[in-house]
Amino acid sequence: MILTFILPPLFGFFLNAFRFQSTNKKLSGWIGVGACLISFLSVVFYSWIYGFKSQSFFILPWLNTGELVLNFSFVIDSLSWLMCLLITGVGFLIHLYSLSYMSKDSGFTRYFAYLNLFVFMMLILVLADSLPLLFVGWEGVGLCSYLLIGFWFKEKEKVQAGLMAFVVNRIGDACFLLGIFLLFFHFGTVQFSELNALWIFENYATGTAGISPAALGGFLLFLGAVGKSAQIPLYFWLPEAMAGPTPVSALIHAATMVTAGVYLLVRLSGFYSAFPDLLLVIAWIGALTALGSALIASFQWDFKKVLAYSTISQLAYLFMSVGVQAFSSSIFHLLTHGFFKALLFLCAGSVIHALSGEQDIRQMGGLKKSMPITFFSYLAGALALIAMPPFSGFFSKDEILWSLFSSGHYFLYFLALITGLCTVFYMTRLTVFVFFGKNRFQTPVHESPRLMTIPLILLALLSLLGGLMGLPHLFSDLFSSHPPHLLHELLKGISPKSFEGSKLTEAGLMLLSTGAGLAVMIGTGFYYLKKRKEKKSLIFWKKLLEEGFFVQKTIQNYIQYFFGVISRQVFQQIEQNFFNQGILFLSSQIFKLRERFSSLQSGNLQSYALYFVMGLTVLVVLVFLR
Amino acid sequence: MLSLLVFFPLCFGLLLFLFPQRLLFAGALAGSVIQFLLSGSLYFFFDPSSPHLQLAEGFELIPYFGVNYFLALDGLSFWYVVLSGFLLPLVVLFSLNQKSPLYFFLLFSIVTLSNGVFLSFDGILFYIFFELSLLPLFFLIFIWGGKERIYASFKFLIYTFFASLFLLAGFVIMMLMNKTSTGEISASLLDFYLLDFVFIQGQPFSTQSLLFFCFAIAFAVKTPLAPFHTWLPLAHVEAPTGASVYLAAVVLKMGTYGWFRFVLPLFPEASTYYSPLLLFLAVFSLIYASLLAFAQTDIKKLVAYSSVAHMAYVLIGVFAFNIYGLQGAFYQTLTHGISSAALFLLVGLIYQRTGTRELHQYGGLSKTMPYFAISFFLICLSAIALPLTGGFVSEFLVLLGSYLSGKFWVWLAVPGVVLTAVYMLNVFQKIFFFKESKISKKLNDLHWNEFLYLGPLVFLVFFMGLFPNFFFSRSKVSLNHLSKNQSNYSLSFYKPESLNKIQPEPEKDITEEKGEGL
Repeated sequence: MILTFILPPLFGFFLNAFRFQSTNKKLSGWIGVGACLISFLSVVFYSWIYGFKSQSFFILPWLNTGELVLNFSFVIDSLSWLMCLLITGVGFLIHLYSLSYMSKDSGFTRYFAYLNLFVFMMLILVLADSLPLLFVGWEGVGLCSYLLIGFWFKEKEKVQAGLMAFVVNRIGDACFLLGIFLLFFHFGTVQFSELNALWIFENYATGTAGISPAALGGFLLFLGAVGKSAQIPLYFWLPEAMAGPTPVSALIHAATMVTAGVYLLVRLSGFYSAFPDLLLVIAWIGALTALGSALIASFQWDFKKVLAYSTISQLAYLFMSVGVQAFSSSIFHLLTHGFFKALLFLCAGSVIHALSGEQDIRQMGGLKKSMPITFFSYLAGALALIAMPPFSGFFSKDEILWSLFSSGHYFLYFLALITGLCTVFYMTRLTVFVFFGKNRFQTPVHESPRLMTIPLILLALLSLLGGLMGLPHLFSDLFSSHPPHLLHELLKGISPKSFEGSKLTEAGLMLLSTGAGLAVMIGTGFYYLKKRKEKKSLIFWKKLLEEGFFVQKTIQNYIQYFFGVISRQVFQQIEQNFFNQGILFLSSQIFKLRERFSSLQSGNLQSYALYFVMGLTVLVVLVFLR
Repeated sequence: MLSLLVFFPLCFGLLLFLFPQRLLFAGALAGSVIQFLLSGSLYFFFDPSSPHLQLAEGFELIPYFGVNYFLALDGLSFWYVVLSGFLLPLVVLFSLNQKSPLYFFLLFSIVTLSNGVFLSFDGILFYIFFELSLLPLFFLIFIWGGKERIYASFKFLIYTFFASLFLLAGFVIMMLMNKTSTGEISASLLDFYLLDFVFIQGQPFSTQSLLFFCFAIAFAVKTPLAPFHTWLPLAHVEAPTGASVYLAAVVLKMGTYGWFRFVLPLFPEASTYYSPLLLFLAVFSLIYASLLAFAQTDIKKLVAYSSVAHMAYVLIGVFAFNIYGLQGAFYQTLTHGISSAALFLLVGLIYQRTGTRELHQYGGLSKTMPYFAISFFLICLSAIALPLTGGFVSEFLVLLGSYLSGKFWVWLAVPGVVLTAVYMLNVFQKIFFFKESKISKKLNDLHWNEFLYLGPLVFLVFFMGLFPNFFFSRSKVSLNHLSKNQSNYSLSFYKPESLNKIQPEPEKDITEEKGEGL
């Protein structure tokens, strides 16, 4: 049964990979879309037939050495089922959208092959039952991301952006590997079920786990997650990754791959619960990333970069939520974020497509009339992102804020709130620039074709209604007939901690964040609609944030450069001048020695005989004289 | 059986001189396929459940010195024999346009000599094969090499020959020691295993340490381990493709084989005591060679340095001393055998077309040669050690083993994982991405023979990543035997009764003693 999840995208990949030169675009496109659809349907039907019981499936043995036994075996529980649903569902819509978006591209077949491979790898990632198998998918999606960022391989910057993404991820992956070794060393297992169980029963109950090797292992795995989910300090690859085609940004760099880091932590929730201190570190890294990237997003001029920084900041919310052990809230926001961020990216794609490649929001404007469907679905996504009721983002983000507050981390709550307000600011700014005001684009603009707008509408509906998955406690009292929190019910297994608090506080917090958000939205809206002149005194800060604290530039200009210089210097100085010359010097000395010893030697072959005898005598004498 | 494996290629190579020009390639191909089938058929004769010597055969060579012609097979040598047989048809396919029978003869004789190295259990016989294997490569570089072929070939010959002399010295010392302890002079490896070498900590000239260093130097040069690697990039750059493939995939493995076969079992205390030194060199080698690979502009030189970096993993695994490290290191030699062979073939293929290996002359090649680009990329993935390729399995086990052995060195090896990705993808991008360069505009994609030799390699890269157990199953028992009995390692014969007919007298009583242990 599980194979019907995984295999269709793989077959789709092979079919398209073997006919990558084909000119029959329609067929390759529908192979890609069809593969994803079959996968999606089988995920849906699976729950119909089997329910949400945790079930494991053994497929093949993989490697078997000493006590290490690794298999290709998968586990489906409600967590991985939800992830599969997100991956294949949103994946399917994005495939569909790509049919039209990429229709004029010469690498059409190749594109769908990569996209299907990505879906396959992502499914492996979320279905894996052990860390090494998860790592297979983990590196696999990284590879697809590399290939898709540099999809237009003729342009150097795009390829380099892909390389940066791969290498930065690889740094995280190296830590991930070390984490696996550490856990295997200390516990002799790399299976999720055993790792989680181990900690719930032994240490979590007694609460004795402090900074231990196991905590270090958890931290190393977290560093892997940091790389994949673009958190400080490994965040800077994600804005660069926007060089890829926009549907790719929607699928890989917003909805699915970048959430893999959070998925990993949630998958090991039982394990991480044993280390509250480590979790606090995670929460703080999340908070810093959230605020920092929201600030940077507020001053970007590239449509996609605003969304990229926004993605980083939303992912950081997920880490904060994991940090206070609100694992299922984290998954809730992961899902809704998957919907609305994919939607926003697809809208961005629709706009960019209509403006034939223009990405600078200063060149856009007044698009709400010419692109009504895009505008309204964008609005749904934006409202969900800034957490306005009744859009889905409101429920999920509110839950995270609530768990931050109720677990007593008031300062974290405060940072999250500020980040939320920043979010409102930059989204309003973006909306005003792109859709309101005068039309600053010369040629007439038309709405995108239906194949692109249908996914937009569907995702907009999801962004609107996704909140129904988890209505807050407050609402469940109002409508007692409704089951309280669908998602928490589903994810009962993974969230060891529950959050209690008065209904009044909850309502207060909701009102606070919504009210403040509305105020910021109206203020920003009027500010940007009326006048667009910036204050001179803030120019330095503005520049700093526009450039994202100059992190990308520093890395591109200096670190890459110095790496090249260092490697060349090492080659010149150490390899050529030291080792090579050293050997030559030694051999010339030996040759001189030969001349001194014997004048009869002529030609090389005889000299070997001499070395032979010499070396032998010296060694034999050394041994026997002792 | 084993003698056939060893001497068939040599005889067939000689026979090739009699072939008419037209049939030369066909003949060479036929011979290489026969050799591959022969070595593949070992699969049916070899019983992987025993670590002991199988299919042993031999006769007295120089009774006065106790030197015998003594061939046998065990789990450590099995895959190497198959590997060298497997690569032969591929290399012959690559040399479609080669007109000289001498070239094929030299290629075939490398197989003879490498099989001899992997199968001989007599110290002196091993040494003879080990040294003679330099000669075909020397001539291949000397005759078919590039601009600096004379310098490169002599440097290769002298450097490696000189290093191997330590090996001979070591064998002679052990033979003499055998005489003092048992009264019989013997060069048999089985007798060497039984010897007890005195080890005194902190004294590099005590017997075991001295012998350890003799062997370590010889194998460190061959493996190669920085800073003893300087012969390798030069030899690779100048060598014709066929020679490069065998140099990287098989000849280097003679060096790594030596650590498994001699150093670890013979000198257990010394290897433990000096393991920090070797691990340091290995980690240094890994990082250093990766850095150098990044600095190269010649594609082949880059591949050569990446070879050095990958071989460093072998040492890291071997000196972990546990089954994970050993298995990983052993597997790394195999996966590297496949991926480096493929990389050298790919570089040779493009060099045949363009006549240049300068990186900056390439660009945008994936447009004109898409199948080539795909093969190159897939092989790169194995070099980067992406999961599902063979490279991942071996690096994973090596690093795991190294970690489990409690050495903190593994933390220093981890940047290597990142660096490999940097230089491998960097070279891939520069050749295949970006704008099309002048050279890459008028190139043809792969021909039939190129598909034939690249296909199996690409297939194997993934097969080895997906089903490593298939390969482990042949070597596991031997490696387990090694990791468990490192301090009192010994081997005996698999079927003692069948052996009496073949084995000469001096060997006999020892065999019977060990036969009880079986």
